[in-house]
Amino acid sequence: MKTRIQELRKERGLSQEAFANAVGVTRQTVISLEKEKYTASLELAFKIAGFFGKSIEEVFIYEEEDL
Amino acid sequence: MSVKDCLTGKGNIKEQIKFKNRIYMFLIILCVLYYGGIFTGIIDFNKSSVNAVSIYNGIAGGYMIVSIVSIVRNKRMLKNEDMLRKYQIEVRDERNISIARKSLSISVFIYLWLCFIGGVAALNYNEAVANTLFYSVCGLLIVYCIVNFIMKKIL
Repeated sequence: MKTRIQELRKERGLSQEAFANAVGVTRQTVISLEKEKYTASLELAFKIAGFFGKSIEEVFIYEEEDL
Repeated sequence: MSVKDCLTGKGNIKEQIKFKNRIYMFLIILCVLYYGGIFTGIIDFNKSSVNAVSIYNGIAGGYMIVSIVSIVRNKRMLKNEDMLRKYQIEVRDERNISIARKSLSISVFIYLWLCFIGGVAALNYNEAVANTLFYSVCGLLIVYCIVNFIMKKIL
């Protein structure tokens, strides 16, 4: 699933490690999310969106092909 | 900490670590009792081959060392909040959990087929080995059904 995590993270000047610590995941998970290799669970998606102060739809881009 | 927390991996991380320490302590006590000769009344080691006794000794020694090292590591972790936080992130990271579950699932599937094929191949040579392999396949499938049933009730 496409995400704007990398874009939003860089806007705030955060490293992958700092962002990972903030949302309670490993740096490898952040890398996988940014490379669109891994799809976050609903709980994690809410945490990430909440961290950026945005809605889930503004962070995660759902496309029909994801079905 | 409830049984449900143990099985689903949720709940307080400190309580989980303390619970693990109790299990390791129990293992250490069992190993000490084994080396102390308590089990000679239950298991007749005279009937066991030298190889089998060596394996028992190795297993007991291995468990003892792993348990001691784990308890020491866990106690250090409980005192250091930074280490504890890093450990919590590592064990509760959803991607790591997902990878571990998928790896286990694929491994078990491959293992079951290997045991079945091994059992079929061994039928001509050693019936005891073939039976062991077939029973292990059946045993695993039965355990899977039971655990699956319990997890459906819990989750």
